[in-house]
Amino acid sequence: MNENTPAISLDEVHQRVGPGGRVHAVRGVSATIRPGEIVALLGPNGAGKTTLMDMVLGLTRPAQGRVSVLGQTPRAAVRAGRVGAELQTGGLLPDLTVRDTIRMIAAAYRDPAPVGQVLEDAQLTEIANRRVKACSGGEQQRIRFALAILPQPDLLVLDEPTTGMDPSARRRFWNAMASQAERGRTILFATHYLEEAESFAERIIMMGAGRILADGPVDEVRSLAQFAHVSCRLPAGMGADGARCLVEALPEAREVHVDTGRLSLATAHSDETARVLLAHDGVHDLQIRQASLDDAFAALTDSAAEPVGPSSSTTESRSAAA
Amino acid sequence: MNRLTFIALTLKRLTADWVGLFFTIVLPVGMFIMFGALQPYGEMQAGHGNVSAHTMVSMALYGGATAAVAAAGMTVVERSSGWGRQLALTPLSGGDLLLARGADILVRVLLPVIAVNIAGLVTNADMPLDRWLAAAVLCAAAAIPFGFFGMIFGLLFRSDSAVSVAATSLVILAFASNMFMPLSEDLLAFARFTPLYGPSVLAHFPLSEGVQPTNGGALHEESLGFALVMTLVWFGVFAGICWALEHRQKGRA
Repeated sequence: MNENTPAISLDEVHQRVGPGGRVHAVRGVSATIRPGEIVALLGPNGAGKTTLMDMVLGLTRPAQGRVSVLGQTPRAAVRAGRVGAELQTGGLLPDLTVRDTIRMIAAAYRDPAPVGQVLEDAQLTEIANRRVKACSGGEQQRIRFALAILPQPDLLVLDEPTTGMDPSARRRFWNAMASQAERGRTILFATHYLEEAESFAERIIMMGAGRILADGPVDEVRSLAQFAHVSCRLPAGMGADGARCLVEALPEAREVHVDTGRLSLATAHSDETARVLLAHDGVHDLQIRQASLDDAFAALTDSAAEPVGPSSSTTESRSAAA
Repeated sequence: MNRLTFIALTLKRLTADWVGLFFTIVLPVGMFIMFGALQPYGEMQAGHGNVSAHTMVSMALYGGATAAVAAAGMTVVERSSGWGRQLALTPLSGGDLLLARGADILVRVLLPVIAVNIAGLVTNADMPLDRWLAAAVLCAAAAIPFGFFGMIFGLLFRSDSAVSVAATSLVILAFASNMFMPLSEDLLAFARFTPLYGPSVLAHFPLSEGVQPTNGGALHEESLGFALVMTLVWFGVFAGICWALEHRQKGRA
């Protein structure tokens, strides 16, 4: 393979799922992921992330379009041991020990990493002889991660790998992932935790209703929200009417709240807003915060929610962003 | 890729399920001892051997068939669980998996069949060695296709308990097949068409050549051809239902 062969190439991919293919879960997705890229796939439940990953892993074939992985068909790449994956639905056998689980999957590959090293990398050495059913949720998550890195893959695909982990376990997980990334592996992961995408990924693909809503470097995607949060303290003694007058003088303010003398709002014209506010006598302690990925996420998924079927409602995307 | 390691680890799981294994072995052995070896009529002549040998063959077939139902049913449930998806992410082909599962089912079926035959050997079961071996092999061979019966329950209900229920329900089919106790001649007229009847006649054939005891004391002689046809028809029905259920599942995905 030469260096220009994409790790993942998606060309106008469509997929239908559910009984009789009733749900058009992926609706024309095109993207190219280069070798060594670390890409976060973001989107509310029902956005089509898992369906897309299933196709990348060769578990399902696209209804339309083309998927290629490392220049091969997805199944050929998996058969060659070049893809490791951790799925939400990937289950374990409760009666096997941790070590036997890893040995069993290792036996499926031609050239797996040494079992001892994988146990070490996934921080499982101490519980290697424990049965899976006696492992906590977080420990089982680490076992599935161990299975993903076992083939020494060129491409790692992870579907919400940190769901159910406590913050310190999550931090340890991302440290382990960082060492995977250092080995030059391409990593595609889906997540609900925006700060994970923000801190770990180089590139973000945001999905909603089966389509790509945004695709680019983290900063670029964040700026798609195109607004900032502005807040300030109001002069003591300013009543509700006074506050309303003040806000009316501002250019296009949204999400206006007044809480114990503090005014906060969102606007696309933060500089102009700041100028107007500070010109008013007694206004002080002004703060401007750039839109976060959360905001971009909410803005993009809300606008995408309109033409969508019942599976992806606006409230769902809000709670996912929260 | 190391198929042998994969198969070995699949079989190693048997030891983790020792409670289940204990019952699939101990139950038929215990029933043989109670209803065969310890009975006063056990040493009475029957066909080419004695009544105890007849009971031994019945219990070996029953034990083997129960194990096949449980093992194959579990395999289906397991495949539909996340573990099946985990395996789908490896280079293992369908053939590799079939081989490992086949080995697992074979071992689970052979264990009770061998155990009951050993129990017969050390107690009072009696028949010529060549016929004995033939009966034991027929028990295992006739038991294995009952795996399809277990798969039906696994595919329909996708739960371990449904598969256990299926395995337990075999006891009813065993009674209905004239295997556990002689039925009346009226009942036998219907019993001849139940799923375990054909396999039972086949497994007992080296011993009794089709002669069935009945409740009234009269003997009913079954032809090898009828037993063979009934066996094949039932296995065809079970396999066909599995195929249809499998097909339905694929269509859904």
